[in-house]
Amino acid sequence: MAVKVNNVEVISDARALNNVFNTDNCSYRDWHPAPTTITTVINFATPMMVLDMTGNVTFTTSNKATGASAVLILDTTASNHVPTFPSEVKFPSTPSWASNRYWTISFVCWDNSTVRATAIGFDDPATAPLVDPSFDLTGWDTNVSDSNANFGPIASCSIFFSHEPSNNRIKVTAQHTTGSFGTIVDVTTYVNYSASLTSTTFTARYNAGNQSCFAGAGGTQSCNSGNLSFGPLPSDDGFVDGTYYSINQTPGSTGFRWQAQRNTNDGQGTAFVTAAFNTSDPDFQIKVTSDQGTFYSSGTVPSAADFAINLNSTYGIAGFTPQATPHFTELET
Amino acid sequence: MAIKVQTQTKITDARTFQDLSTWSGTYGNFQPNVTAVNTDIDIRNAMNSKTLSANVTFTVSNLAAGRTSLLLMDISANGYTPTFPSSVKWVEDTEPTWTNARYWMVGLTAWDGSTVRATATAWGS
Repeated sequence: MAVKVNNVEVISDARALNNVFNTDNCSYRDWHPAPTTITTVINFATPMMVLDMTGNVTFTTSNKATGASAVLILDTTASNHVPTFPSEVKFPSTPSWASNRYWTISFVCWDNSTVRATAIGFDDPATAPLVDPSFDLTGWDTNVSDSNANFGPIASCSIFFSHEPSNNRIKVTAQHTTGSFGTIVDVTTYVNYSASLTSTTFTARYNAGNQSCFAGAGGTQSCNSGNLSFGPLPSDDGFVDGTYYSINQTPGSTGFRWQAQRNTNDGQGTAFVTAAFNTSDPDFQIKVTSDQGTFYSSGTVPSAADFAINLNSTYGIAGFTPQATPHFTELET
Repeated sequence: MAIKVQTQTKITDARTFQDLSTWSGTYGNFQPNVTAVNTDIDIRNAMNSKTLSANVTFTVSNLAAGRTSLLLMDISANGYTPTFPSSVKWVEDTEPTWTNARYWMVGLTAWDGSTVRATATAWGS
């Protein structure tokens, strides 16, 4: 049963002290603030806050009251994310956030509108690369087949790059699609770069080496890009193998897409799209130019097959046996 | 109605917790009251404030080992000078140059019943 004084609860059933107006001649021993993980708000109703930054953060304040104090335990992480505090938060001098990774920041409300703060940094920032050198595409299904007896089935796989400047990173999304099961996003990963980079440009390319569309037996239309929403090869969408293209900012993106679709006008049969990724260059590369130099981040198609991307689209009656994937020996180097 | 333990009032009708020893646990929204100081800093008060309207000579009272207190001090645009008693010792034995900044947060820790060690942090704005 809660304890009340003059009908005001002072000790709840959960043993929380509430509505304490004052203390007098009290001592404490193991008496600590409960930590609260925050995202952007310095809340003076939660006097001990913790944040491991996953991107640059612009903070706000709430529940300011004269004399209220709070502490923020801040980890800018190895990516050296940058905190920004509102104008009502005054520092003796603004800390150089990049000079340390871990910070203990103490805030005191001078009045209901002004907060004065001190920050103590610990540990040098990790010697993180200015741009993540690689991104992991493990799990991307690039061996995709679909079949349908009534219309041209779709098998595709795609990779998209999207620049998220507010978080100093490139978002990489790899997915595959079939007409039967729709789109499945296999991989979402990020390439982080240091906020200290300026005058930046961001581009991406693929290095497929040998890539081709084969319409299949009797086929004349299945590799006609005019019949497809995209592809069948990225080069059909204007993205030449081995050439860097600007990465669009979020919510936009820059994508390289492969698609196989046996055109029904070609009759029953299987259309193939393959890409070998057999060059000496990384399969995918992000290139970052900046005031501090040019940096690259690489990703590898996870498939170990000869054709790292292998798409089959079979149009035909139920039970129709797809043709075996052809070998484009004429393309082998 | 006040709450008593063995006839001693522990929570008054005004919801003041008193004469409690060895609290333990965690707290959330639990902030100190701010006491406006005239000249005496009662170290039992966790948070004190003072805007100087003239030079001031402070005293510090109720010292006991481990007691801590903060003073939020504005020496005003006129740059009035605070003077602390000799019982207050400063970092590196050097008292701050108060006129270097307008706003100061002075942290006081009673080392024992007669000595206070203090730090001061300054803001210009």
